[in-house]
Amino acid sequence: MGTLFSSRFRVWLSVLLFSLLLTPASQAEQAWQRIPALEALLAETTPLRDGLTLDLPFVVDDGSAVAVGLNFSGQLQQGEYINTLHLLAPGNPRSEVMSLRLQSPQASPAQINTRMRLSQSQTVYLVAKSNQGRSWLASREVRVTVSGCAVADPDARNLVAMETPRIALPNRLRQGQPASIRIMINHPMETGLDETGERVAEANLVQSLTIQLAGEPLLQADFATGTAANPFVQFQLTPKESGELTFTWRDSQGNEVNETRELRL
Amino acid sequence: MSSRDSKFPRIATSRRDLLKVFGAGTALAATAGCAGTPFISRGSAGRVVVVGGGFGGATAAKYLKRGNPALEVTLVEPNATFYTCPFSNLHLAGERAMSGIAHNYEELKQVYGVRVIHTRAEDVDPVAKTVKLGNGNTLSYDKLVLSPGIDIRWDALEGYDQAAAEHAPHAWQAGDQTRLLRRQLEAMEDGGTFILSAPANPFRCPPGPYERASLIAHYLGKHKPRSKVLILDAKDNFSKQGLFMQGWRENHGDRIEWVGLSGDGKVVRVDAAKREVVTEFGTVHKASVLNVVPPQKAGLIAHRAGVTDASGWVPVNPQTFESQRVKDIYVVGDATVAAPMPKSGFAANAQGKVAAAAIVAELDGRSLPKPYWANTCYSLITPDYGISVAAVYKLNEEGQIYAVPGSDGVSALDAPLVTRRLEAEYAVGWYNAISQDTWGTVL
Repeated sequence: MGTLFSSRFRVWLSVLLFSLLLTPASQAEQAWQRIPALEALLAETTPLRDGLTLDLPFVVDDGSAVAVGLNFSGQLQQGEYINTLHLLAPGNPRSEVMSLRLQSPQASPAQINTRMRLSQSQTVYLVAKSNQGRSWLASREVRVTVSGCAVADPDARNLVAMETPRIALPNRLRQGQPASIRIMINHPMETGLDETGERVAEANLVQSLTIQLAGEPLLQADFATGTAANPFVQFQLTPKESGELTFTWRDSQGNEVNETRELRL
Repeated sequence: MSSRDSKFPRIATSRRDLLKVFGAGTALAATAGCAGTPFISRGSAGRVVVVGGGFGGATAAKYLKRGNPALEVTLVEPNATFYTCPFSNLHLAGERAMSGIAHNYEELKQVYGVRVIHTRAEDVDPVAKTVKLGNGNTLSYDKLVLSPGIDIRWDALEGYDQAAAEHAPHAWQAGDQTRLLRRQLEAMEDGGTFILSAPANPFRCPPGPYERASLIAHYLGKHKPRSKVLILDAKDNFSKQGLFMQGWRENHGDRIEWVGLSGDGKVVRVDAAKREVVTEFGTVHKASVLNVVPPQKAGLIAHRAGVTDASGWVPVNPQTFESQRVKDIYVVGDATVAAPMPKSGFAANAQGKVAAAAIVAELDGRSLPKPYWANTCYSLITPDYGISVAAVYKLNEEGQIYAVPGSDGVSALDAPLVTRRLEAEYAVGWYNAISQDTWGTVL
C-alpha cells in the first residue's frame, strides 16, 4: 500500500474511471427548455448555474413531505440582489411548489429550507431571479419509491383550516448577524386533485405567508399544490434593528391567521 | 456422523446441487451466454473477502461457499459474538436474554471452510484490490463484499456525540448500547417518562422505533405502571402506522404518546447529561430515560472504499449489488440504497444471497442470474401481539427494484387477537429461521 494520500487518490481515480464507463453523456443541461413552466419563467434569458443549489435526497421513501434546501451563494453585481425564488416539480400533477419573494436585504437567499410533495420520480428545478433581470437555474433528479398521495395526506388529521401557527426565533439576535427563523402552520394543503391531475374536489390551500419587520415587507411565500401539508419555511434573517415581526397566513377559504413576535437585538 | 454434522446442514458436493439449494431470496436463471473469461488469481477459483458478519455479510460468506466450495472466502468481523438488532427490543423489555440474540461464526468456519478474522477492516484500495486490516495485515481480493451496516451521523443532531450516547443511548447497534439502555430502564423510577427520538427517513429498520416504544410500554405497564412513553418523531408517517396506533390503544391504553413532525416532534438538540431534548419550535422535553435514534449513514469502510455518494449511502447495481462507483466491490444490507426494499435484516440476508450468486457466476464465467428478493418485517406490540409488512421484489425493465404488485401488504386492521397472537409466533419462527440460515444458530 502507498501513503494515505496516494491510496485516496487511487480510490478517486478508480471511481472516476468507473463512472465514465457507466454514465452516458447527460442531456440534463438543456432539458428545462422543454418544460413550459420553466420556459415561461426564464423567458429569453440564459440562466446561470453557478451559485444556486437545490438540496434534496437522491432517494425519497415518502413523497408527502420531502425536506428541500434552497441556497444562493453566487456572484452578484453592484446593487444586485436576489428577489425571487421559484421551486418547480414538473413531474407532479401541477408543477408549482412555491415561490418566495425576498423583499428586503435583511432576508437572505442563502440556506432556505422547506418541505415539498413529490408524486413520482422526477427532476426538480429551482429558479432564482435578481432585480437586474439575471436568472439562475438549479436542478436535481430525485427517485421516489413510495408516492406521496396526491389528494390528501393521511397525517392531515382531518384539519379543514389553519391552526397552531409555530414560530421559532433564536434566543439571542445580534445586529448584522444572520439568524435562522422557522415557521410552520398546521393545514392539510388539500389539492383536490387525483394522481392524474384531474380535479375531484375543491382545493383547500394555504396560499401565502407574508412577513413584515417593523412595518416593512420582509418575505412573502406563495404556496401551491406542491407544498407539503403544514407549510414550513426556514430562512436567514440579518436584522438591522429591533422591531415587531408580523406573520400573516391566508388560505383559499378566506381564512387569515396573524402572529407577532418582538425582535430584540 | 458426529453431532455437529446433524446440527449443521451438509455441504452439497457438486456445483449443480449447489444451484438447487441457493434457496429463498435468489433465483438463478440458467440462461445461455458468457460474460467473458474473468481474471482469477492463480491457485484458486477466486478470492473473495467479506467485510462485516451481520445478516448481509455472514449470509454472503456462507452462500459463496455453497455456490462454489473452491472459492477462498475470508470474513472480516471485529466481534466473535454478533448481537442482532431484531429481537433486541425484547431484551429491552426484559423478555429475552442477550444470549437469545447472540450468534457466532462456528458454522461458517467449521462447516463451510470460511476463514474468519476477528479484526476491523481499516481501508480498501480498489486499484490494488486489497483490504487493510486493523491487525496490520493486508488481504488481496478478486471480489470484495462489504456489509458494513450503519454508522451514526455524529455531526447531524446538535449535542449528540459518542459521549452523549453513554448517557442517552441509541441502542441502534446491538450489544453494549442495548445493555446500557436496559439497565437505565430497570433503574428508572415508577412515574417517569421514557422518550424515544425517531429520525427522518432513511434509517435502519423503519418499524424499529415503534416496536421499541411498544415493548418498553409493555415492560413499564408490568413493572412501573405510572410511567409514560413519548415518541418524538421527525416524520408524520411511519411504517405500519395504523396498525401500531391500533395496537397501542388495545394494549397500552394512553401510555404511549406519539408526536409527529407537524406537531413539533422533530428533535433538533440533545442535552444528554440532563436527559433533555429541544424540538424544532423550541419545546423542551425532559426524560427519565432518553433514547435517541439518530440520523445514520453507511458504515465507515464503505466511505473508505469510495462507494458512498453524497447521501452517505451506497448506490448499487440492483442486479448484482455491485457498487455503481467501484468495480468488483459488492455492498449489501443497510448501507445500500435499495429502496423500496427496507433497511432490514431480512433484506440484507436476501441481498447477500444475490451478491453471492452474482460473484459465483461471474468468477465462473457464467451469465448473471436473475435476482428477486423477499422481505418480511414483523413487529411486536407485546410479546403476544404481532403485526407485519411483507413484499417480494424484482427488477423492472429499467433495472430498478420494485415491489411485485399483489405480493406486498401489511397485516389487516381490526384483526382478531388470535391473528395477532399467531403473528407473534410467526415472528419468533422467522427469527429462528433467519438465524439458522445466516449463522447456523439453532435457538
